[in-house]
Amino acid sequence: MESQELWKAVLGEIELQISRPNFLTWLKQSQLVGKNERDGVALVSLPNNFAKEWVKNRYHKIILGSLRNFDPSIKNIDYSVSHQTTDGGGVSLATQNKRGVGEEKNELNQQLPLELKVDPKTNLNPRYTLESFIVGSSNELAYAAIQAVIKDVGKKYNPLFVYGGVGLGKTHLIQGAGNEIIKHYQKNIAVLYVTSEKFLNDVVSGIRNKRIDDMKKKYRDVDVLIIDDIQFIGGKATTEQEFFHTFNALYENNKQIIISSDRPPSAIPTLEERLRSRFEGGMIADISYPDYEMRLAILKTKTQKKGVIIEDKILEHIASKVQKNIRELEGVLNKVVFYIQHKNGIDGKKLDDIINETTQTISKNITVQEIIKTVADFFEVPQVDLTDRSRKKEVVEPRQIAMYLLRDILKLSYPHIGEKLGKRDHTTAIHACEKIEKEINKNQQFNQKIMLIKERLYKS
Amino acid sequence: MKLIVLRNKLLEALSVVDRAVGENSNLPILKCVYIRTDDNKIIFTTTNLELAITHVSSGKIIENGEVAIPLHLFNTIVKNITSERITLESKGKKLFIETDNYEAFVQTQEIKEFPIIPSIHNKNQSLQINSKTLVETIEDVIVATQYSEIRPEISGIFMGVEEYGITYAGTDSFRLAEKKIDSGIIKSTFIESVKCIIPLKTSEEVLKILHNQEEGDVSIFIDPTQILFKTQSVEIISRLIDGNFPDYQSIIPKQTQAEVIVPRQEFLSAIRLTSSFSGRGNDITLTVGENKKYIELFSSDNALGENRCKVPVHLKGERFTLVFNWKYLSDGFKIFKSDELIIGMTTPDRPVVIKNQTDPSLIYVAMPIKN
Repeated sequence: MESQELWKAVLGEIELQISRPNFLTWLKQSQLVGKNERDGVALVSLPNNFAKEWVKNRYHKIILGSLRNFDPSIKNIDYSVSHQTTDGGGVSLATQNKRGVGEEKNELNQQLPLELKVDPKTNLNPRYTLESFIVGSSNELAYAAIQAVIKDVGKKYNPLFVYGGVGLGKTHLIQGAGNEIIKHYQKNIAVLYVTSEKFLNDVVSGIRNKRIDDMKKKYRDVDVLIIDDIQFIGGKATTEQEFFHTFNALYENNKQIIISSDRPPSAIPTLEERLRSRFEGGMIADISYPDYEMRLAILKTKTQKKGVIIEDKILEHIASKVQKNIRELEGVLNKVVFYIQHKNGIDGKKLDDIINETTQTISKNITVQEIIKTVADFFEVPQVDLTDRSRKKEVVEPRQIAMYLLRDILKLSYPHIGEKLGKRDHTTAIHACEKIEKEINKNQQFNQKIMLIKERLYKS
Repeated sequence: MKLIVLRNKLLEALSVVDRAVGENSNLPILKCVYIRTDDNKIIFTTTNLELAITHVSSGKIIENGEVAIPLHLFNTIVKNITSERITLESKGKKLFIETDNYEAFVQTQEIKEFPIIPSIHNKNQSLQINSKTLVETIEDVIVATQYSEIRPEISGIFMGVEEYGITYAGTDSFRLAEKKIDSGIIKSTFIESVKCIIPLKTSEEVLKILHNQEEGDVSIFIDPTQILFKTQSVEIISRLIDGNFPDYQSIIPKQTQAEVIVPRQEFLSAIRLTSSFSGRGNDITLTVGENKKYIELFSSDNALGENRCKVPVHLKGERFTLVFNWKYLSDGFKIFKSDELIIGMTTPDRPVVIKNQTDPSLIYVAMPIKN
């Protein structure tokens, strides 16, 4: 950000020294990319080769002079051609494109499946690779299991059942596994990835078109079957039955089955017993919420990939605020990058705004009473104990959690919190909030506990 | 500067560099041609900051020098001059144009304002290719290319240099043409494989310029941001499109369910004939006849009427029915030269491949219309 300011100042000076057309043509889109601190060489990027040659040969002296006025440590300038990155937001482009075509040309023309980088045969998206999967304490078990499966397809852990909450990387992990298996065994192995919804649709259309055999063949002729979000087939009897038979057929032939779900098999209420027992017969691995360090690592990897430089302070702030969902983490990061690239940086307030609007759950009016009641219910202690002066061990922690939540969700003042929970001093409340916050960042299990309470709060 | 040049030579030079004259309101100098002398050569240069064209010509140089004058004006004068020999002489800020019966002076522009033409510094890696081959190749793939603001990466021609030769490809996301040139007829000093996307505009200009030139070798130099085409007398340098060309290999059908061998000319005429009834969607329907001996082309329009036309074919595989935008189909048929072509299809919602029976180097893929 500093270099942006510097470059603005430099351009302001140069604008006065050269003619306006020249300035507009050659320097308008230039940027100061950075500075090598060691040898004092500044790197300036220009929109094209013509501008590069021109600026290098004609304006080098005045730019250097002007730069040195502001920053005497700069000794020389290097020039480069900027990449007008057409940031390939593949999917969004595709739909736009299609709509545009539909309006201008005609709706009948079908496009070549260029933007569908998804391999039509395996259904895998090559974007998901295991290399880009960040491993931390919350997902190392799942990752290790996947690695074992890749090494020993169909033999070691079959089926492999991966579960975890929304946006924690299940799809990434299992698709990455599929891609890795293809890479590892070249083309000698048939991998098929489907969402359970696709499976369901196949069953339905199979029945409707009287081609259920084709559908059976499609799913039974593979070496690795990956099914995403299996919880959705719960309660759909024919699909479950069909899946059960497919499962058996594959399992008997030692074909690998990888399944993902947002909860463990035992917690999918409508799943038939015989399927559940089969899922539980293999390996079950969970992916839980990432801890602070992992969130930070993810943010850092993502920024690196995007090729932008963001202050550590900002990343740390995002990592500490966005806790539940990696997708949200990415969303916030994307917005921050946008602000830095197009709006000249970002300040603390804007950052908080972005985080709030991205992570905001259904804004619901939560009252002090509700929080106290939910916490009390969660820990199964009487409500009065929380608002009492009791210092029994089993109510101390719940009370502190209640204080934390009052502060975190309702933004109550410390004296008010103390008042509400047994007429305590405001310092007690401060101590409680700090303690819980520390504990959340340190202790994964504890964090989950808090998440569960919050979930109940928002659901009730 | 003082030169005497032949009108024909001057006309040729101006028509070549005319293709890169810019329309940049900020910088009037871009409307100018920059003329300089160098070692018995007269060098003409223009640029629009996307590409730059340099043409080397000859003439009698009496006094060395350089000058920049508006190209359009200069071109009009030279075109209409009838004399064989033209004298150009600069005095101060004026360029005098004289023949035996005509004289004019043109206000010149500040030479220092003319952009510096970038160059490719690494000249070690290059490839040489016959200009006619290059022209034919670009012509083959350019039919499938179209400028797209939304997808800059397909608004150009893909060029990939590999060990086994060069691949050119173009697509507008409805169809795709790919042409391979065998390494036998090119000389390449590229050590690693190189991939780049040449802007459509540049490809068109290269095509037009090479078309009018005498046949010879073209040298191509590539660096990460630009490409240089060089012949005996012309150099064209252009920026490259920054992006990744789609991985189109995966959409070319590898196996086909049915293959029809069709007579190219006859089929092409049939397409044109039948298309007269195709509606706004440009759609015509291809159906293989019951005895597998012919294809029926059919199109209809509620307001106009309908027509059908039969073309004898040989079919291997199952019978099928496909709907196409006839323009895409005829474009594909036009780029081939052979008497017979193969149309290969998998399923009606998958791309169809058109290829030559004997020469696998050129492939055209088109997407049928969903029925």
